Amino acid sequence: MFRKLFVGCLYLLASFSLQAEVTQQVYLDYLVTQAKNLKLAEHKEWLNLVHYQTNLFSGYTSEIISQEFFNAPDGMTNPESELKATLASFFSDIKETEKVQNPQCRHIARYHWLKNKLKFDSSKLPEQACKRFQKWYKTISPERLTLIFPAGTDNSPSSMFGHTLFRIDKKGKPESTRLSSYSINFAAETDEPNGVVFAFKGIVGGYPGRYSIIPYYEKVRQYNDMEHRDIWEYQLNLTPEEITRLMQHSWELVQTDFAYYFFLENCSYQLLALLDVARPGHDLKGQFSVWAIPSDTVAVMLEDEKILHKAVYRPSARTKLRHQINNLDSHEQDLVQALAYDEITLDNEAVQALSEERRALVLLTAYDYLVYAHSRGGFQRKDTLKRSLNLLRARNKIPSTTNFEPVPTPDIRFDQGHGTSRFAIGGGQTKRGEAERSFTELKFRPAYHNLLDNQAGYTQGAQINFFDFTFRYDEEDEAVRLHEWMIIDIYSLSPRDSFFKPVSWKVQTGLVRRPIGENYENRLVYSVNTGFGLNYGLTNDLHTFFMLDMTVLLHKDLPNEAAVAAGPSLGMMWRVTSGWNMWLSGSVQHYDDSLDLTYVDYRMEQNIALTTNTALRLVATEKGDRDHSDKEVKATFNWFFK
Amino acid sequence: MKKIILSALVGVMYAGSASAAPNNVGCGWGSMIFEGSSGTMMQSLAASTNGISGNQTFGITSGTAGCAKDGVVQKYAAADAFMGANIDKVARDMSVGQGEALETLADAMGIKSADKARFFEVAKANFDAIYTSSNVTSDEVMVNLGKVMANDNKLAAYTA
Repeated sequence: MFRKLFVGCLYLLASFSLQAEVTQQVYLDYLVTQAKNLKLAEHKEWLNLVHYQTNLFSGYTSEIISQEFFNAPDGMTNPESELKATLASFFSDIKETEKVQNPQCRHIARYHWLKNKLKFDSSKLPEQACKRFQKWYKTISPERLTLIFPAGTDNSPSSMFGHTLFRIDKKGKPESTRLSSYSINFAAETDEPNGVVFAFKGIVGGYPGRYSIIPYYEKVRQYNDMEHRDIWEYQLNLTPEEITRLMQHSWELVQTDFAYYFFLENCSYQLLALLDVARPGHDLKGQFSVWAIPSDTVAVMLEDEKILHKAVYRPSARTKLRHQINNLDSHEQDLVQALAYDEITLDNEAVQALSEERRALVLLTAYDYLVYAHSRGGFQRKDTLKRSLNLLRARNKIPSTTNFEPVPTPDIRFDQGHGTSRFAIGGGQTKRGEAERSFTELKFRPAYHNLLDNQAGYTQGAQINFFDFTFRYDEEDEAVRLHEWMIIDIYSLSPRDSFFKPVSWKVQTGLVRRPIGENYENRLVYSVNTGFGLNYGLTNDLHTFFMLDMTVLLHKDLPNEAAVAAGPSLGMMWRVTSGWNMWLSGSVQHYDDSLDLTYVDYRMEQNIALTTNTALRLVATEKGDRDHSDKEVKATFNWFFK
Repeated sequence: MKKIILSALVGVMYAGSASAAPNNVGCGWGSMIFEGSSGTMMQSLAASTNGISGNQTFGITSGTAGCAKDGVVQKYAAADAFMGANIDKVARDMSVGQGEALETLADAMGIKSADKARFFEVAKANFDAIYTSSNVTSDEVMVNLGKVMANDNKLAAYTA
């Protein structure tokens, strides 16, 4: 009797669970049909959530390369089957552990998007608690999204254009505590110690990209203190819903591998993609298809005028130190150096003779200088630790808590400078002996900044030009020719003084015109030119530099198909007014026996900025050897754009 | 650079077990910003990052444990982690009596805004007792700070 009842109960239970499964299947089928009717698989927001890109001809491929990110075996290339499989996965009753997540939590942004679109019935599709996500969210406690933009550094090919990341500002915390906010950073994942290999592989896509979440103070230390890059922080106006979506999607993306390409699918592009998910209806990343330069992506983000709440400037350790030094008189500056180099002790009369207020500033600057010098490899820290601490102790004995005034905020931010692409049109005349020829010139440079271009928003003394094409129409023989093509043209001119002792350098490579072969005809030659030297600022706006250059030319008509040259170059750069830059330089390159040529190059260039994105450029050059010199004058109108 | 970040993270994560080791990686005065320099050009080629940076581990590593080993400050996990990474900046700010690093530390320790001025005063007045030597580690700094606060009428409550 009891046994019959028991078996009956079992039967009943089994049929219930079977029935539940059937109900689930029915509801899943219903949802899939609904999704199909609503064409959700083709919806822009779905495509963004799974990071699908349209292929060249047809179909889609996701930028994400982690198979675990997809629910369907063909999810990487099939938005529809991925959507179906995602819906099916939401019925899973997997319990969350430290290692495993329920699919609803693993894909929490997708879940909430689909729930909203398909109006999930929680009695048929129970919602998971996702405690790990909730805890993570609570710890980060997001209130505001801030875009962080550290400037580029010219001494690293991988960070020339700057970098962007997000900071999530904590709810109810004052601005003075932003260091402890968390940041969302997208970067290529690599242990490659060689910077050149690393840059190359970054360009061709040899590394996966990945999001990480780390405290902002780690990033500030890296960019501000170690690499001496100024930072702009853009506090954005996002709605709470947008912030929540951004956090949900970040949760999905952390530890997911992306295809990383230095020029397009880089940090800045991925932040746009993240913002597009957070703000349905926006397509910021769609505005970039070949390359995404951080300053351009920032400008695009800020195009919507309402989005910027406030921009905050965070100067680097070097910028702050420079500012402090500039606020000391020359006697005080000497004391700073003497203290830092341990030439005088703290009880030195001259130090003690300073007023308390001034002494406090001198001691602190000496400390900062030791920290700076160490970050540049100037000191072994262990040798200066005691001295550093003693400087702070001496500063500490002075009761006043006054400090230096903050570094003034620059008028022009990194995103407000000229556009990074340049198009130029103009004309000029060349003269060799008595023969004069006129030409019309067209120039196109995709990126980024020339020393003479309007400097506002760019790092002083840093030039980075990529793929600078020059075409000329010669009016004599009525032909259009590629005149020159500078593939890479980088200058780093940093002034030296008693505190800062950088080395200036340049690397230029591309196709240039040189007189080789018979008739000293100027022919297209592949050239690599590099130089190292010193730059001194006579004033803030007038710099002179001296370099030793080396040049290698490659051409099939050269005796050994190559020629090598060396020689000095000397130059001057003068910022006459904020929009008017002038450049004078001369170089002498003596070639080896194969070419037996001493080639000189004198030039004067002026750039007059008419507006942020237009400029007039006047160039006069004389170059050649003793017997065959080419004189040239030209004027171009330059237009900058993104 | 990456090495430094890693050692900082590792230092923060494994500080508990490191307490027995003679060297507290990533916690010493001057060990953070200063370990490994980026002097020459080639070095900084590898060190710098434009979205090409190393192996930062996922997650909120700080907040799991600080460098502290003394009971006095164990409850300030986020503060410990912050101190572990910013021991030099906090020293600079404490010697002056103000600054962003000190503000952030105060916040991480849960100091109420009404008590902040006092916290700054006490930190400045006891700088020598907090940064006892150039070999001091961040956990020692936190312990010393805790002791100094325990002796102050207003701040003692935070160390209870």
